[in-house]
Amino acid sequence: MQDADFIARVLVEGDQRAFGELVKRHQSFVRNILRTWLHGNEARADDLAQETFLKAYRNLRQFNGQGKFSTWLYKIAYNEFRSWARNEREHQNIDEIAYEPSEPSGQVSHDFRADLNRALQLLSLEQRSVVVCCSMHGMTHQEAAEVLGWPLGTVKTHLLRGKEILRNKLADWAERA
Amino acid sequence: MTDQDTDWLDDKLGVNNYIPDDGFSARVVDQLPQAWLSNAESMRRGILILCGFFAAGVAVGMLAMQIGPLKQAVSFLLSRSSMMAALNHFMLMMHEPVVLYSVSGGLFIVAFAAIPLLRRWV
Repeated sequence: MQDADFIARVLVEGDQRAFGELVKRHQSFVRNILRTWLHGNEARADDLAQETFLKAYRNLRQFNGQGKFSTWLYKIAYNEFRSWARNEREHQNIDEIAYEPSEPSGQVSHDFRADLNRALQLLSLEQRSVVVCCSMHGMTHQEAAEVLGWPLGTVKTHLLRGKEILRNKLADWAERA
Repeated sequence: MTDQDTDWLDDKLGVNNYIPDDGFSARVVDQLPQAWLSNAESMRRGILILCGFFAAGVAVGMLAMQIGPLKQAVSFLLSRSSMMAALNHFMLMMHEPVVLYSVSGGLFIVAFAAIPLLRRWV
């Protein structure tokens, strides 16, 4: 079944299990993207991911079905992250938020994950956001522009600069690749 | 910077890091009824705001009724709107000018206040 079928079941029949299926499909991506934005702070990322899905559920009627459901969802996740970051910024610099390395849950080695998290901390919030979307989660530039609400050129510029910093900081890994 | 550099970085960054569900979706589904309650709560708040605006409009209307030039200005404004003119006519038939200006003022303000609220809800 497509996302649209589940969405229709939620809207027409109020079927919460159908929404549960949507959560199952997209939870990994949403949690992953938030964990990366939050330097691996898993607890906070999962809280924001939960809030993202609840907000999506409340506003499901606003999804017009023209774009991808996933893009719409990631946009909500990004807005959740931004409003959280805005609150945090009142107390501390967002780029100084405590780094809590996560355990590797995929095929990437622990060392690379740790190095990557450290390198990501050197990026600005904008660079990190776009690197996470495009390089780590395979969004097209256009999709990232839509999720982040930026012009296409801005996305490309931040991506280029962000990757340049990562390339320098992770240069040791180039030989092992 | 070479193309090869780009390849190794993209390959490294692009490794799929799947996070197992581990009960996350069940927790979200458990929260869904509260999500609707939260919606109802914001609607309740919106209705209270509208009532507040209406009360303020009534107060403004009654005040306008006490001041001659303001009364004329309100009459002029009301006459510019066909809906309000109809209401005006209806209220005049009731021979209750205080009610007329109060209700009209309230409705005017509610109409303006409702636009952004409706945009948020719909």
